[in-house]
Amino acid sequence: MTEPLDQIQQTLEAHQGVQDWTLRETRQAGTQLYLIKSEPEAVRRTHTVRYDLIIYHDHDGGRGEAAISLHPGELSGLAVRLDEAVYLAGLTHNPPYTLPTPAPAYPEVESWDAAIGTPAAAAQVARDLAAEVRAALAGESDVRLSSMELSLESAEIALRTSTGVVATRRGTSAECELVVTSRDAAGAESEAHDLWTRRRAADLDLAARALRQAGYARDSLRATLPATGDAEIVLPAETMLPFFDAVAFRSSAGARYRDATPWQVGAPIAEHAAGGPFDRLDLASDATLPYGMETHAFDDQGVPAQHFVLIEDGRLQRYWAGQRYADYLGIAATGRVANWVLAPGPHAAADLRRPGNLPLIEVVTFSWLNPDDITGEFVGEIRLGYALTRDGRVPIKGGAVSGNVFAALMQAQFSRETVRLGNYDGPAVGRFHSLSVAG
Amino acid sequence: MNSDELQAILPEAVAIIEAKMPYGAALAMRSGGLSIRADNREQQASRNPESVGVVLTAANGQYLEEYATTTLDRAGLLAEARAWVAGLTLPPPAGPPLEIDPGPELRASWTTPMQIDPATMSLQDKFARVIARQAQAKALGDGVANATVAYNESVQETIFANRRRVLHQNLTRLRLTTNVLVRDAAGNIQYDWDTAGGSLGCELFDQVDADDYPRPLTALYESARALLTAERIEPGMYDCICAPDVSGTVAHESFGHGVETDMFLKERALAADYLGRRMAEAEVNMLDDPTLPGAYGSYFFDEEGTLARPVAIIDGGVFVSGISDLYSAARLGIARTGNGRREDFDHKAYARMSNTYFRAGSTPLAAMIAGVDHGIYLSQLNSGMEDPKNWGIQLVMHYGREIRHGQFTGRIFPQVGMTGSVPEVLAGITQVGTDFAVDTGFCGKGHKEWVRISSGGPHLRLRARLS
Repeated sequence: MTEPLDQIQQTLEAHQGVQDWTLRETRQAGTQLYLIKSEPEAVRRTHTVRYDLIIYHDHDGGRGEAAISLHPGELSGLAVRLDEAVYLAGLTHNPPYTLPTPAPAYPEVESWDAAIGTPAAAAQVARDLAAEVRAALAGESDVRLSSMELSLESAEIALRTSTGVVATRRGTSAECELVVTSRDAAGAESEAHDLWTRRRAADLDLAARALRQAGYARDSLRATLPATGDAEIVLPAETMLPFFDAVAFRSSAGARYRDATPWQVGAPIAEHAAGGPFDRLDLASDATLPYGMETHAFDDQGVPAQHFVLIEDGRLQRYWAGQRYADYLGIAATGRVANWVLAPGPHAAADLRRPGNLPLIEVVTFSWLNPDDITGEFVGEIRLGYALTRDGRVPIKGGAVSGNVFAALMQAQFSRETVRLGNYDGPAVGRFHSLSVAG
Repeated sequence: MNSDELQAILPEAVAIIEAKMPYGAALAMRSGGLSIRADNREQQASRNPESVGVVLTAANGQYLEEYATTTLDRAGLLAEARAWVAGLTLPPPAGPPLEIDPGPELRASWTTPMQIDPATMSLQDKFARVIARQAQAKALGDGVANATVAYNESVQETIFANRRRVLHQNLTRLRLTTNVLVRDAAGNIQYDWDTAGGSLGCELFDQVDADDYPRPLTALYESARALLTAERIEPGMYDCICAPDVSGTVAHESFGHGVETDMFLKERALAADYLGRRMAEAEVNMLDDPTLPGAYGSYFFDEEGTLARPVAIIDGGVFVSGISDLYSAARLGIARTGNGRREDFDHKAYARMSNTYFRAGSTPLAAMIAGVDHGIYLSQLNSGMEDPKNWGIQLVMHYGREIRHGQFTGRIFPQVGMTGSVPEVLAGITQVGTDFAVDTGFCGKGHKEWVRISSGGPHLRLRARLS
C-alpha cells in the first residue's frame, strides 16, 4: 500500500455521506518520438500520477454518484472536494445498485511488454523502431517517410473499493502513426496514412507495415474513382473494426435500460436475408485475450475479466453490463466489452476476393469509417481500395461506401484465415453483400 | 493547481532549462469542469475528470525535447526539471539550427468574458435547468423513447512562461445538448439533436430557453420521426445548400487541416503549392480566428505562448496564409500565428485550428432556397475527415432535406455523405449566405489529439457528390 491511497481511503471511509466508493490510482510513464522526414521533431517523456474516485451517496431510497480526480499535491483538499461530490450525488436520484464484490481470484492476463516497461528501455526501443522504418523504406524507390509518431507507454493501476476489492493490474501500449509518400515520374505525389496500437512494441511489425504502406502510396497515385452502384465489398479485418463499435452500443445493458437499443436477447440483430450465401455471425468479447489492447484482469469497478458470447448465429445472446446495469436488468455483470473475437468462416480469403456477378471492391482504408452507434448507418469515403476484376486488382480512391452495419454483418462471408490485431481476433477478411458504392 | 505559485515557479524551471539549452519554456494546464445529464431513466451530476500537469520544453538547436509531469510543488517540480535537463545533450550541428524567438516581454492574464460566471450559479440551479429542459423534451410526443439533456461546463486554466513572458488564461466553455430518440411500433429507432454553446457563461440557459435556440424542440422530434421512414439518398451530384455547421466543416476539412503548416514541413499538404493562387470565387473568404468572441474554440494565447490573432486563410478567393505552431514556423521561417495547441499537458503541440469559418456573403437564405430546382439542404453534421495530400474531403450529415422548385418537399434522407476533391468543392460554391453561425465541436489531428474548436459561417450553395 502506498501512502496516498491509504490517506484517500481513510478519508472516504470517514465521510458520513459516502455509502460506497471506488478508488483508482494510475501511474503512467511514456516515451514519445516524432519524426518529420526521418529527422526528429520532438522527443518527449511523460510521467503522471492520478487518483480517480467515484463516491456513491444514498438518499430517499435512491443512489447518486459523483467523480473526483486528484493529483499528487492535491490530497489536502480532498475533504472539501468530497463534500461537493456528495452534494452533487445528492442532487440526482437513481434506482439503487451495488458495486462488485471481490472475486476469489482475478485471471492472470498477458498485457505487459518488459521491453518498454521502463522509460530508459522504451527510449531505446523508440530509437530502434525509427531505425527499422528508415531501413525498410531506404530500398523503396520513389517513396519517402513523411512523418512517424511513436508513443510507448506503461501504466500501473491499483483499484480499491468499499466492497473490499483490492487489486492491481498493469499494461503497456505501443502506438505508431506512419505516413508514407510516393512520387511518380511526373512529380505527382500521394500518401498512405496508418495508425495502430499494440501491447508489445514488437507486435507493431513496423518494417512490414512500412513496406505495405509504401505499396499503398504507390497504388494511390494511379487510383481512379469507382463506379456507382450496388457492389460486394471486401474489408480486411482492420478496416471493418469500426463496425463493432455500433455493435457494442446496441448490445449494452445501459442502452437497453435507456430504451436506446431495439435489440432483444434471443432475437436476430438484423433481418435474416433469405437465400444468400451468408455465414453465421458468432461474436464474443474476451478480456483475457493475450496481449489484446482491451485485455485487463478486472475492469474499472473490479468485475473480473471474462470471455462471453455476445452474438451467436446472428442472435443476441446477452447484454454486456457493468454492475450497475446488471443490477437494473437483473442479469450477470460481464464487465465492459473488451477484445472482439469473431468466429472464422469456411472460405479461403482468396475465394472471398474472387469476383462474382456484382462488381467487387476491396477497401483497405476509409477516410473515416464512423458508423452511427444508434442506427448503424454509415457512409465512408474510400481512401484507397481495389476493384477486384477477373483481370486483376485496379486501385481506386474517392467515392463512398454506404449501408447499415447490422445488415452488413448479417449478410457477410468470413475467411477461415484469422488475424490478431490490437483488440480483435478473427477472420482476416470479410465480404459484405448489402452495401452501395457511389463513385 | 495554485496559479500564483506556478507563475513564480515556471520561470525558475525555464532558467534551469536555459542553463543548458538555447530555449526553454514551461506550461501548466488544468482541465476540468462539470457535467449534468438527465434522460427518461437516469440522472447524473459530477465533476469532469480533471487533468493537471506541467510540460517543460527545451529547444536543443535541432529539435524539441519535452518532459510532462503531474508534480506541481516547487521543490518536486524543480528537482524533476534538473534531473531531466541533466540527461539532455546538445546534438551535433546538422542542417540549419532551430532558433526560437521568445517574443517581446509580456506579463498578462485573461478570462473568458461572460455575463453569468458558472462559479456563481449554484449546482442546484444548473441541475434544475437541465431537469426542466429534459421534461420538455420528454413531453414532445408519444413516440419519444428517450430524451437526453446534457450540460457540460469545461474549465481550462493555462499558465505559460519563457524567459520573456508569463501568460495566464482562464477559459470557460459551455455546451447544452438535447437529444430526442424516437421509436416506431416495429421497434425502429431514430434520433435528432441540437447543441448550443460556446465560450460563455450560464447565460447559455437563458439563451436556449428564450429563443428556442438553436431550434425549437419540436423540430428535433419532427425530424427524428421523419427519419423513421426515410430512405437513403440516390447517390449522385446535387445542388446543395449547406447549413452553417456543414459550411464550417467544409472550411475546416478543405482548407483548414490542409494549411496547418506542420503539414507543409512534412510535405503532406498539397495546399503548400497553392499559396497566392485563386481557389474559389471572390466572395469566398475563410478565416481561422481564436479571438472570435463567444466561439467554442477561442483562447487568448496558444499552448506555446503565442498570442492569438485572426488569420485570413482565403481572402477574396485567394489562398493567402497557413496557420502555424512554434516548430514548423521556426523551420519554415514564417510567422507564428498562435495555433500551437495540445490535447493536454502530456500531449505534443501541433498546428491546429481554433474557430474556422467562411465570412458571410450577399445571398439571403430564402433567395438561395428559392433558386434551387432540385437539391438537398444539408445540416446536422456528424463527422468530417481531411486528406491534405490527396485533397479529398469527407463529410457525413445526420440527414438531408429535399428541395424541389425552391421549396422543401418534406422528404428527408438519413446519413448523407458528401465526398469530393477540395478544389472541386470550393470551386463549386456559387452563393454565400448573409447569415453567420458557429457550432461547438472537437477536432482530431488525423484520428487523435482532440481539441475544442468551432466551425461555421453562413449558408453556402454548392455542387457536391452525395451518397
